[in-house]
Amino acid sequence: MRVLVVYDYGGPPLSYFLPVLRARARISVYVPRPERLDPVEHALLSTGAERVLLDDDLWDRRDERETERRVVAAAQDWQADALVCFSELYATQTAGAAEKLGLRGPGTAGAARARDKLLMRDALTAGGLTNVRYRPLRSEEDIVALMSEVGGPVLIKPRRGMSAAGIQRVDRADQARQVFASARESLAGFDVPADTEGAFLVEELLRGDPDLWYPVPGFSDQVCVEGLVVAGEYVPVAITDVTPKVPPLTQSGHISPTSMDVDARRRVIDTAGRAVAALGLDTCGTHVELKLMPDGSCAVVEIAARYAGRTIIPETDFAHGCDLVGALADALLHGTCSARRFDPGSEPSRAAATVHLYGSECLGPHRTPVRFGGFAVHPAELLDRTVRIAGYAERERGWVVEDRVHEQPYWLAQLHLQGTSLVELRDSVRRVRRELQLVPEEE
Amino acid sequence: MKWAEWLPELARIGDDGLRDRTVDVLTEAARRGGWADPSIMWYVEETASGAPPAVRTEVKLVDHLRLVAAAAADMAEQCNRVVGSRTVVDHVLVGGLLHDVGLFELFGPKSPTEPAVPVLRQPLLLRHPYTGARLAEEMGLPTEVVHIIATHSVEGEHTKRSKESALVHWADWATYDVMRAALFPHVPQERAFYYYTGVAS
Repeated sequence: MRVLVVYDYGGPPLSYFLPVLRARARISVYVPRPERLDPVEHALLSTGAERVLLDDDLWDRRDERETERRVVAAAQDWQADALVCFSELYATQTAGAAEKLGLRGPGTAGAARARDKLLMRDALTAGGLTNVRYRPLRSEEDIVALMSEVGGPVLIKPRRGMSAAGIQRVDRADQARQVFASARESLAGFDVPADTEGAFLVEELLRGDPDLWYPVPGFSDQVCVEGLVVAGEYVPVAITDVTPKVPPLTQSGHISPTSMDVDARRRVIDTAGRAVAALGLDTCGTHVELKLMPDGSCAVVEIAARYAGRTIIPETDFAHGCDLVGALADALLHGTCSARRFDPGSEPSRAAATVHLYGSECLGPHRTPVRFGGFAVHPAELLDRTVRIAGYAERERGWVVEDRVHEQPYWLAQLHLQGTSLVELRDSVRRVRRELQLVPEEE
Repeated sequence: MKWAEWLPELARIGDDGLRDRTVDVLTEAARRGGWADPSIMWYVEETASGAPPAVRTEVKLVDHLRLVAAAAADMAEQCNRVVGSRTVVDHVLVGGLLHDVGLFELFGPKSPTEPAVPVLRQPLLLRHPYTGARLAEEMGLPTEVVHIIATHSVEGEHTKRSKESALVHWADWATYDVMRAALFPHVPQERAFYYYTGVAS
C-alpha cells in the first residue's frame, strides 16, 4: 500500500506520525511550500519517508485549484492508495484530490464546511444544533448590528483561519472599526484570506460555566473531542479538557483524560456526534470544540475535519492507550475502524497534559518590561511523584517579557507532562501555574 | 509602524525627505512580507548552498540594521574628519538601515503561534540584495543608495563599490563576526561567503 502525505504547518509532530504511517505503507511526502521547512523537518522527511517531493516551482500557493491539481499529480505519480493531510491550510485541497482520484477522504463538501466557519454555522443551523447567533462580516456595521441583537460582546473570526489567528473580541460598538482592522492586519503574512470581502464572520461570544460541568475547579468552559469518521460513521475516541484561558483569549493548555463525570461526558459526546453528522464527513480525523453552557447543553465552537495540532494527539494516545494516527491510516487505506470508541464510564489509568506559561502569569512582584532570567524554582520541583516531564522548553535568558494583548505566540515556558494519576497530574498543573515565578536577568 | 522607535538611527539622517523615503521603503517591505510588527522578526541568513535559511533567534533584524548603520556612519564620520574623504554620511546611514530591507519582503512570519520566525514566502531565486535594491529603486531612492543595497553582500564582489557601499559592506561583515562570536559561536561559518581564504595568491 502507498500513502501520499501532504505536509505543511499543523497537526501532530512529523516525528510522531511518520513512523506510524511508515509501518503501514510506503510513504511519499509532498511539500507544497518547501521554502518553509526548517533543517529538522528536512532531516525527518529524508529519513522518515521513502520519497519527498519538494515543490519549489514558482506558483501562487493561495490558488487552491492549482494546489489540488498538484496534489493529484503527486498522488498519481506515487500511485497512492490514500492521501493524508494534517494541515488546516491544505485540508480542502487534499480532500478534493482524494475525491478526484476515487480515494477515501472527508469528501469535498464536508471538508469545505469544516474549513469555512460560516458554512459550518449554516450546516449546524440546518442540523438543528444549539448555535450561536452569527452573520457574515463585511463592515463594522455588521458588528454593531449583531452586538445590538445579542446585547453583549461579540467575536470577529476569519472564515478560513488557522491557529486562532485573527480572532478578536469586540466589547463596545465604538471599537468595531479598529478591532476589525486589527483582525485583518494580524492575518497579513499568512496564507489565509483576510482582505477579500466576506473573509470574516462575527458571532456571539458564548459564556459557559465550567463549575456546572466539572466536580473540581481548574478548567475552562470549553472542551474538545478527538475522534474520526469512517465511511460516514463517527467514532469519538477521547474528550480533552481545556485549562482556563489567560485573558483575553490566550490558550493555556489541556489535559487528557477528562475529569467530567459520566453524565457530562455523555452530553459532550452526544453533541459532538450530532455536530460531526451535520457536516456530512466521510472518512477523516476530527477535532470538535464545544462550549459548556450554563443550561447543561453544549454549543459548538468549531469542527475540524482533521486531527488537532501539536501535542493533543500524542497526549490522547498516551492517556487512552490508543493510536489515532494509525486508526486514520487504517480507515483511509482499508475503510476499517481500528479505533476504540469512547466509553463514558471508563477511567484510564494514565494522564497527560500540556501547559503553556506566559510572562503575565509569572511576573510575581516584578513589572514589565523585564528580561527573563529563569524561574525561582525548577518546574520539576513542583510536580507530584507520579508525574514526569515528557517535554520542556523555556525562553532563553534575556528574553524580554512585555505587556501584550495577545500573548499566545509569546509563551515563556511549555511543559508536556505524563502521569499515572489524573488527580496528581491536575494538582501538578495547578501548582505550576500558581507558583512558578520568573527571576529577572541580572544585568 | 514605529520605525523611529525601532530604528533611532533614522534621526541621524540630515535630509528630511530622504529620511521619509527611507521609512516608506521599510514600511512597504514589511507590508509585502506580511509583517504587521516587523520589529519582532528574528535575523535570518540566506545561504548560498541551497540549505534552508538560518534563523538567528539571538538577535532581531532591526537590531542588526541599527548596528550596521551606526557602525558604518561612525566610520564615515571618522574618515571625513581624519582624511577628509567627503563620504556622504546620509547615504551611508540610509544604506545601512536598508541594506537588508529585502529580507522583510522575502520572508514572512512562519505562523500565528510563531510570528517572529521568518520563513521564505517563495523559493529563493533572487536574494535580498536584489529585492531590496529593486524596492528602493521603485520607491525613488537615490541611485547611490540603491547601489549600496545591491552591492553590500557577495553580489558586490565583482562590482566597483562606492566608498559609502564599502563602509556598509565592511560594517555588515565586521559586526556579523562579532555578533556571531558573542551570540551564536557554535554555528559553523558558511565559507562560501568568505573570499579571503588566508592563502597567498
